[in-house]
Amino acid sequence: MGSAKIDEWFRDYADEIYSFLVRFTGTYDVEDMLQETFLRAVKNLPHFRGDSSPRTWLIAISRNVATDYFRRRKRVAMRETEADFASLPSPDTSPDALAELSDLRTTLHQAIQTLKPDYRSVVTLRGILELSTMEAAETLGWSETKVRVTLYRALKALHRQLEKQQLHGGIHAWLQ
Amino acid sequence: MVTVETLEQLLDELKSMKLTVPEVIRQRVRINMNQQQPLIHRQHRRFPRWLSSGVAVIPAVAVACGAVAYGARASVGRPNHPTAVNDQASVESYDYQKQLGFQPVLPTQAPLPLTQTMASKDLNTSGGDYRIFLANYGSGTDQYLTVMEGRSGHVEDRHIVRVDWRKRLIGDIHLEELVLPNGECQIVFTQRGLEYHLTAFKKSGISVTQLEQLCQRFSQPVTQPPDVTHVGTFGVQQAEKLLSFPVLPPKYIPQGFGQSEVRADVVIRGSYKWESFMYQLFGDKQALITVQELRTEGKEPNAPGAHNLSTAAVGQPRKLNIAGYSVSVLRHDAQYTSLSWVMQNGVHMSAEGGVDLATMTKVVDSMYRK
Repeated sequence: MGSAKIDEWFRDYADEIYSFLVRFTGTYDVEDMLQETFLRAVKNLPHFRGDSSPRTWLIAISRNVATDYFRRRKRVAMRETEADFASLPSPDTSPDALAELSDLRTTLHQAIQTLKPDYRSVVTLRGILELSTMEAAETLGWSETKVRVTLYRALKALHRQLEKQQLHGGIHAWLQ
Repeated sequence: MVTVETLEQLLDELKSMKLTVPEVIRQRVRINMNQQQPLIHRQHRRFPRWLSSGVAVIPAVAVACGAVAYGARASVGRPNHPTAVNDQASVESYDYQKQLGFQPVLPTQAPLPLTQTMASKDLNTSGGDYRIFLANYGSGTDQYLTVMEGRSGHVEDRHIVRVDWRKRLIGDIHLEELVLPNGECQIVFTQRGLEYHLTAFKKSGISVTQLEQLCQRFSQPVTQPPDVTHVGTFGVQQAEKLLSFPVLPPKYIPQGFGQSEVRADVVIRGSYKWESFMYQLFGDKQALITVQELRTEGKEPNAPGAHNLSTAAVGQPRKLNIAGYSVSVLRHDAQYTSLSWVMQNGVHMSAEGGVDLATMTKVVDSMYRK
């Protein structure tokens, strides 16, 4: 029963979890995180009460997994290079990442990484994964009002970031 | 000035940033989840996580093979291939120095009963041979506290698994510790040339302070043979030496596939023996084919909650005759095929991956080609 359920969820939601992890962490090397997400789901399935949707439950788990990843990256950076955490993640040069290079999405992807985690979360959930306000609220443990307000601020911050990257001309032309 | 319309357009563009999981990753994750183990193609991971949770999960791997799901258990024939006895040390007599190259040590007093020990060797890996000893403390099949020990660097690459470690000096022991948000405590320390990894799960009720104290009591040499032995190796030739059955790597490599990885494992627990041969073929970027041979002997240990993601076919599977074997088609579509069958010698076979049925049939057929 449990295994069939997880199997079904993996089929249905792996792409969304993958999208979230890539956009939230800024790296395409999210295979371990994707696996960890579903392993945690298997482990915690008996505690899944069904009062939230499996989709939002799994995304919430993946957000925790990604947050753990950031904590680890932060510690490694401090230990090994004493780099500023703000400089993470480092540029991704994987084939998947390079495939996007010529696309304007790459610019957006990079700009998203400059946002603070709450903004990044809400932009990814509402903007990219197209969760409803209610679903995003459920995933993040926020009120719907907070989701709406944070999304608005996050989009403004994202747009400012695009301008800061001196791509405003291109973006403007593309948006108009 | 940013307008609402512009932000909405920005929102529209964000929607186009959805991604799909590359097929090779999708399949690897499914396979690794079936086996409760980390990504086995990444040999920087020193020790299979599924083993650290004990032999109880092994039947889950057996189920992943697929054939078990249909009760297609043939009688186990005599091995028709010489077994590398030296590598498959039985649990009846075990020379730790000879097999692992070190004498394991456990705490003189532990807060929980010792429930299971295991000696494990991973041979012929890209980083050499890895040999470790494990001990589980807890109740029944539940593990609350685990100890893994081995030569430095043999146990686990912590930079892959966890890196948020805090350095402490407790008594004369330099240790690194980690408390996870889920309440799990981990400590790593080195003593007399051996590295010890302790993990206390939340349900153990063991605090990090208690775990620190436990580190100071590691002075009891293990004299009993391990409950479980595990030997793993890489490469076809090494697998042939290790396993009691012939290995059948595919000779047909579908277009777009090239790089392969071969892994063999033997686990012995009392009279129960589990042997696995796994051959994985990696596609250019979108696919993975896994062929597995699996044989068990003796009575299986109890297995709680074996779960299986990849072979949950419903109803009676369609049968095909391939190379004289009645092969069950568990799933197939244009992008994915899963087959299983049983050989006369009792070896359970499976082949699954990101190709259509016709291609997978060729792969299976080529396994029996001279």
